[in-house]
Amino acid sequence: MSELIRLESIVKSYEGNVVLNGIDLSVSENEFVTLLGPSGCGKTTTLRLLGGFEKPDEGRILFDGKVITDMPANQRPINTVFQNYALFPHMNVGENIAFGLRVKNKPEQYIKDKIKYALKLVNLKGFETRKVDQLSGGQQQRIAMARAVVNEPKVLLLDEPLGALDLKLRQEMEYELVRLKKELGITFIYVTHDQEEALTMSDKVVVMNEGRIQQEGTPEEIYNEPENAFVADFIGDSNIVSGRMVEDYLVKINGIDFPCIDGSEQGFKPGRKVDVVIRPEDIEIRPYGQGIFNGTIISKLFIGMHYEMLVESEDGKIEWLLQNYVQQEEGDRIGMYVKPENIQIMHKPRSEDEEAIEVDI
Amino acid sequence: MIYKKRYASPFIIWIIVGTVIPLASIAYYGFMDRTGSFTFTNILAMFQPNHLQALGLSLLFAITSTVICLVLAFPMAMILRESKFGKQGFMIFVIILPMWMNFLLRTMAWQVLLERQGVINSIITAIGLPRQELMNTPGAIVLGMVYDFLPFMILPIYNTVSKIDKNIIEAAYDLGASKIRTFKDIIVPMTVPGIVSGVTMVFIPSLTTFVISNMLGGGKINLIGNIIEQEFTVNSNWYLGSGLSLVMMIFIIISMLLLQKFDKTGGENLI
Repeated sequence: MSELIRLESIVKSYEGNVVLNGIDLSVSENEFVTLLGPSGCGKTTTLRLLGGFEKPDEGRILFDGKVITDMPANQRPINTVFQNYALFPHMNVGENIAFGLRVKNKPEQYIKDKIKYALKLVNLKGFETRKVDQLSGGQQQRIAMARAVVNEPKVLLLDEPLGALDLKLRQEMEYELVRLKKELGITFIYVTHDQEEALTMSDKVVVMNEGRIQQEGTPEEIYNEPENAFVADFIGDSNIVSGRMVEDYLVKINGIDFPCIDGSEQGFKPGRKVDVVIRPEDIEIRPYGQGIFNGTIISKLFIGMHYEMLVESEDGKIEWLLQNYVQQEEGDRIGMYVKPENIQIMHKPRSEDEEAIEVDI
Repeated sequence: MIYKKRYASPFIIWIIVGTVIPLASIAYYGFMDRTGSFTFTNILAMFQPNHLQALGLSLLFAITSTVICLVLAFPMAMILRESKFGKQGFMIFVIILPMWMNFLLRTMAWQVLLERQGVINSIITAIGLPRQELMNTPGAIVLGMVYDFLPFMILPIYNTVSKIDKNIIEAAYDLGASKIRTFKDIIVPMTVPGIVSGVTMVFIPSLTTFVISNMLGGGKINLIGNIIEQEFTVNSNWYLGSGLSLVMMIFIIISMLLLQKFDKTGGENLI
């Protein structure tokens, strides 16, 4: 896949608040990229820069090899689906969809065909003359999509398009979006704070926080190999604990040695303090004393498919979160085992001072 | 029902005392001659040449001042929309400020400015230009109307313009529209309700005013308002005054109905 969009060291601030602090990102043709992060992380600003509604303070944006940093929104081959849909309330559905084509002075017959095609694409055949305010949230969402895609953009930007829909509709729309993306064969750049949406739909997930990219990778990489505690914490439930490397492939957590698969090669030298992520579903329950470590169950919740349990370590210093299909009672003492490949070792976030010292050496 | 019907009674009394009774008495006098018998003379008096001329002149002045207000108010409302929040409040305050001053006083102030020996003429002569006749001209009356009624145009338009979601305007740009196209196809049609109420609030008082034409027209230019006023005061002919008022009212109702049409069709007719 060839590169379509490139962001180069983008910096953006509003009234002294740095919103984006050196963003570098490459998006390939036909890729479904999700910008994921908590509110205020800069994901929407990144999207607005791509749409042409804002200009970066520093850095540049390339589209198909050409710099488009200063190109206004109405000239970019990019269309946006806005968070609140932003349909024109004084026009009916057909006129809304036609707007972009009428602006470009396309012939009326072509516009008619395009409206038909777009409505069929979003499963709203025959909605041409409906009024916008007669549509449900999900339908408005689809019309907003149709209005954008009739212009045949190379890239579609989607700003939390499912945010206002209820859970069931949201899940339906997730499938719908993936189908649309396949049918249209264009690049989607999607912004959300919902990690489930990000993991289900994307080819690539870009996790952002405080104006920086924390990690980018496939959904599997992001989930299974989080690079830092923020990503691990933001994506799914996880146990994040401090540890120290004893030797290659052995990490000590709370006085207990755990075999793992990371060592000096990955930059974790013996003696180094690290963060360790263990997903709650990766902690296996064994009879007491037969695992690596032991604990007492202090609470138990039934969460539909499985049980979620809090297990206190024997010295009372750590509480582990477990997810398991096996039911255990509160007060049960159990043994626990974690496969070495399920122990994810991460660098401790360093303060800027430490970073500076390291560079000096 | 949260609000019980009996709470509406003060308003019903208000409507009866303030609207129904005065309207009924105007109608009563309007269809009556000096002897107390029923007649259409007062109504048909509108078609006398001098009355028709005054009505035509009133219409011309009212339409002119309404159009000028509209042309001035729209950019103003757009600027207000774009400006920062604190600044917005201050600018609206400045626009409304003159309205706190007495209406007569405001109009009188223009007399002082426009007089032969007034402020504007002193400036004109000071830079060596000939003295201008500014007072008692149609221009002075229209100026007075615009000055007095402009806030009534700005506020409703600003109110609707400021409610347009920023995303909707951005969506228009995003779909390739230029600024002009966005203004013409998105902003203006969405502002029609504000335009309609602004036009209503400027057109009606402009059409019926007699104070502005008295003070800035020097009694030389007779608008329909002046004629009605004179019937009530100078000529003590309540019958004719009421008759003409009734015709004016019907005239205004018809103009309002025409205006409402624009509102309902969502502005499609405007383009």
